[in-house]
Amino acid sequence: MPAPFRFVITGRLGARTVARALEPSWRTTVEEARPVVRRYLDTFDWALWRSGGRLLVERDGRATRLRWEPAGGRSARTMRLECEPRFAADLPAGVVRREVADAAGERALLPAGQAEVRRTLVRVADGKAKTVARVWLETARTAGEDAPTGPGRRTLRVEPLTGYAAAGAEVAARLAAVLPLAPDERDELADAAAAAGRTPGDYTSKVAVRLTPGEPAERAVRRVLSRLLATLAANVEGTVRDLDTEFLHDLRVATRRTRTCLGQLRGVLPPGTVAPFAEEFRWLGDATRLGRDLDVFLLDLEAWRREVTPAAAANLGPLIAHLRARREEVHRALAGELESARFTRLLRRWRRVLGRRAPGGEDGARPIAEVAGERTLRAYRRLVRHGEVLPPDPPATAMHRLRIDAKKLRYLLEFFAGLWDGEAVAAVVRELKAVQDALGRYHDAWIQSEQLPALGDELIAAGAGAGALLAMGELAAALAQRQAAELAAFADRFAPFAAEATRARLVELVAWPGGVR
Amino acid sequence: MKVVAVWTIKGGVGKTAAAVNLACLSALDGQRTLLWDLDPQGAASFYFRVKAKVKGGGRKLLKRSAALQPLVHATDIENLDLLPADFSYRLLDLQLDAHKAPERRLALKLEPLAEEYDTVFLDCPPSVSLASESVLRAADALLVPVIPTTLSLRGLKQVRSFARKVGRRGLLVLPFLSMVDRRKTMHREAIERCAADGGFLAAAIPSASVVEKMGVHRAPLNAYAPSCEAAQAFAELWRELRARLGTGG
Repeated sequence: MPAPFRFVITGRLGARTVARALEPSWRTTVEEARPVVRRYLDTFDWALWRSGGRLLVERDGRATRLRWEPAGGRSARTMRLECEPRFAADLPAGVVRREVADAAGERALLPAGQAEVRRTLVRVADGKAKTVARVWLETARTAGEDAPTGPGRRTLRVEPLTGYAAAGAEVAARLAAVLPLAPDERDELADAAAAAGRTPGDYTSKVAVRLTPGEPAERAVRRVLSRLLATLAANVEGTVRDLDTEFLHDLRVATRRTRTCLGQLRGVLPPGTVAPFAEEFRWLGDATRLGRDLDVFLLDLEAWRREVTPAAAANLGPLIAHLRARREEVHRALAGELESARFTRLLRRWRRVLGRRAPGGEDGARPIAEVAGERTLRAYRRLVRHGEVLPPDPPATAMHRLRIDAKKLRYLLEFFAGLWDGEAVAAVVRELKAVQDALGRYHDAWIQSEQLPALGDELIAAGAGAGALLAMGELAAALAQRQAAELAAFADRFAPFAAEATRARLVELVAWPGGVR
Repeated sequence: MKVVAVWTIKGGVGKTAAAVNLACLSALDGQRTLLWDLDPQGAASFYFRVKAKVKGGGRKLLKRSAALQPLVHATDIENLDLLPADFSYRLLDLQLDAHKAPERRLALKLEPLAEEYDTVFLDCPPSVSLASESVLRAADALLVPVIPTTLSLRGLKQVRSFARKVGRRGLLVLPFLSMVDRRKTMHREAIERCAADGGFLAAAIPSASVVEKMGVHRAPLNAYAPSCEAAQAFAELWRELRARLGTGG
């Protein structure tokens, strides 16, 4: 379908007038005005909007229809639905599901804004009564949680049909010439989101703080920490309501980043202020760990189930059901922690501390670029040191420590990327990420295989059959295989990352006048 | 993308009615659907009020460099596009024969559409030819309308044998009863024979004037008589086909 022509109506205009403006060159049919509730769906981090697509559900009292408008002006797709999809996987198999899933991944499709629309359709057909274009007249009132606000925005959209682009353009040109219309540049999604108190793109888990190299470290670090606190707080509700697994993931990342910031930038904030919070954020990390481990286990199992034979997949059923039940319990406890007085107090006090102007620690007045460079190089050296002394068959605990070292370095590079040459930082992060991916997959396989014996006992106690246990045996073998493969991948990727050339590159990258070594 | 060919050796058995109505139901299900009218008579194109004409004809269309997408026309049904017929398709065999590996040519032409469509229906003319061979190499499923008569059942035997010989590996051959008139003893007896065959889809399309009126309304049944017995039978046929194709719902 060629791209539609969009206009805003600037005077009095009804469907009959539109029809009259097109006759007798075209045959027109006016379809009754119908109220529609249009709800935009997107992930919490606006993945669909970022991809350039729009997903909307329209209900007109008789039916629910889903409309996917992909990026690049490609054909919009519509379909009838029984109910709103919660995840891309809930959509019927096909191109729409594939494209939405590519952008949204595992994230839930949440309401991003709503409009109450009264619309009339004018079908435009040629001399053989073949429809060549559709003209939609709409009055849209964007709505917040409660009642719709404002008198509504009146628009006219000409949708040419595939194969009839010329006719569609002619229809649009005729209407624009004789009716009170002006080109429409506004994004209805943005209007609808604004009424719901949001702006497209208003959430990202990235640490996007603009720092200046000469800024006092104390102020810069407070700003980074404030941003992390905002990210952490933004993910609490979604985690408690268990909207999707990424809320907990982002909450944990914000927690770990906060802890890294406090630990790796010691001396920037006053030690007496920081110490109690470091302890509290450690508690938060511990309180959320098991929930995330179970999420990862279940996501991995679902992926694994798709790879094995149908019989083996069926045998994994009892394990998955058992883990899901356990996850429910763990999640309830986790939600309790996030609604506890301790957690509320932590956020409240931390917000107050970060907002208060107070003297920094001994390094607080130094330029942030100098401190950031120094601590980043220190984190790199520590990672290399720990990696180089690994024995050929390292214990999983040593690999775990290395994984933590790598995360600390990654976070420092991300906090301060804006101070340095962006492309060079991105190149180092790419190499580090390859190392981290191997470490992460190794770690997940280790944690999961450690849990299998106890899970097996629990399944036996619950009356599981031999098939379920055999499937777990297969899983154990696959996990061991994965650990070995990831260990090899790690070795291959770590060697160049630990090499002198990378160190020299990093030194040059973070150099600050006066020298950072 | 799944490709469904509606074809049999015998003419006048309801191929086009099946292709048009199933394509419509697929589109209403939200699947991006293309109906390719390969019959030079252009009945499917006529039903959708699209001119049975392709710029450059079959000869140009079969060239490796010619894309199908610019020839596509939207129908009045959302999600359903049509690749119209052209009278030159009567020479499709000759035109295919001018290319290397002619039996693979239609599959090759359809490949670039995989990202655009979920399901493609091929409405094929009744003949056994190089064109049918190319259709059977491109299709995932072959729908065979069978009137419950001796000749039609004999035709099915020939179709199965031909599909085994030239069809792509894993081609689903799915016969279904078409234009059924249960008042006729011969039809009732033949239906029993079909039930014993085991390979037939369960839905049976009745012989009904409402189906013939598609030519008057120039639209699929769903547009003017969605609750009639024939429309319900096509809906049942579509549900079965969808399940067999594994495209969910």
